[in-house]
Amino acid sequence: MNNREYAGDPLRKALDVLPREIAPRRDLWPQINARLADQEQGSDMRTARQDHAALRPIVRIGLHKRPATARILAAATCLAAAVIAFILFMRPEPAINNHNGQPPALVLLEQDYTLIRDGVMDVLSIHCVHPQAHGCDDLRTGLDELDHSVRELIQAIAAEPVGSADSPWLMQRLRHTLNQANGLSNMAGSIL
Amino acid sequence: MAPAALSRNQAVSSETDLISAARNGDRSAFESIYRRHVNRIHALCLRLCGDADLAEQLVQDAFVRAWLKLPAFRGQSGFGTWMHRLTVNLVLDRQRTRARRKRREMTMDPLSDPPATALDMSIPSAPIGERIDLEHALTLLADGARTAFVLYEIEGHGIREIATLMRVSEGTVKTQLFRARNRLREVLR
Repeated sequence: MNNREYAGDPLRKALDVLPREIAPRRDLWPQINARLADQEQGSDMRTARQDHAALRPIVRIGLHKRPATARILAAATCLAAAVIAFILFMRPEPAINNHNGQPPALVLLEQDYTLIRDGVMDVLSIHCVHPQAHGCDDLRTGLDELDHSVRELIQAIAAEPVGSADSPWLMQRLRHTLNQANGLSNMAGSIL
Repeated sequence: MAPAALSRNQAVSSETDLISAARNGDRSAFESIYRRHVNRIHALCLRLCGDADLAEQLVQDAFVRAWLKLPAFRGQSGFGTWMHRLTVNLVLDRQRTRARRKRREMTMDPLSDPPATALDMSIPSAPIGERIDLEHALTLLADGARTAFVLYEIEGHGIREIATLMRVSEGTVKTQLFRARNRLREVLR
């Protein structure tokens, strides 16, 4: 059956009468306009700052040199900051699943796998109940194997400290497994 | 020239004028553009995200982004098509960010299950015995299934294009469509 050919079913009927346009509950222009005005003001201020910065070297000419003590103090502060940064950077990081900053690649890969898996699961549980459905056994076996691999890899990665020698290899394996899952998803799409 | 074609040409040229005025910083011209397209963009946002408040926020973000990107609009496609694409990308970006955040919160929560449970996440269920319309039924779908369905069935995109927009394989788009249709048939019965 073609994807768009299912005349007579309630879903098709509902789609046929769906409006192309829906007005928002309120006028959104005032907020948009205010944001555009803010943007403009911000850009004006940036331009003014740039003009000011351009004048700065001219203003500096003729000023006294900073005293040596201030320079020493500034150098000491920089050195202290560098030492603190070095200590923080070199400290062994906790496991990936405790990472608090930018989302690690693991989260994205897991999210992608969940999306693929949900779709394949539906094909198995809805389409594959028909006796004439083909390729379902391979699909089921493939999904079981992938689930097993993904679970093992996720557990291994989560237990591994960031920056450890095995981390990149494990992530690479997970990416490879996700490629296989995409293949499985294409297979599921082709049997529909 | 036929009157209909003439008025269409006038409309196109007046939109071109509005765009060029807006490009030069004319906010009232941009307001006219907004008024022409807002209902279409709002319908798209509402259906893609399934939440009225979030949809209104997304509409605002989309028009602000459009204003900022207007100098890059070359006019090779219609403004509506350009705006549509910009909005779809914006909504999908937000969906990805939201899903990542949600996923991270689950992982950060010491009381939550280990990561493997993410594999068992399912579509929320519809109220039992309640007849609902398609707009409401769409809100019951998971993000992936809803996006695939809205872009394919309502917005008329092709499978390959949707796969590119969603950054997934074509097979995943097909299985998500299958998932969405079955779920919607179930609740619209």
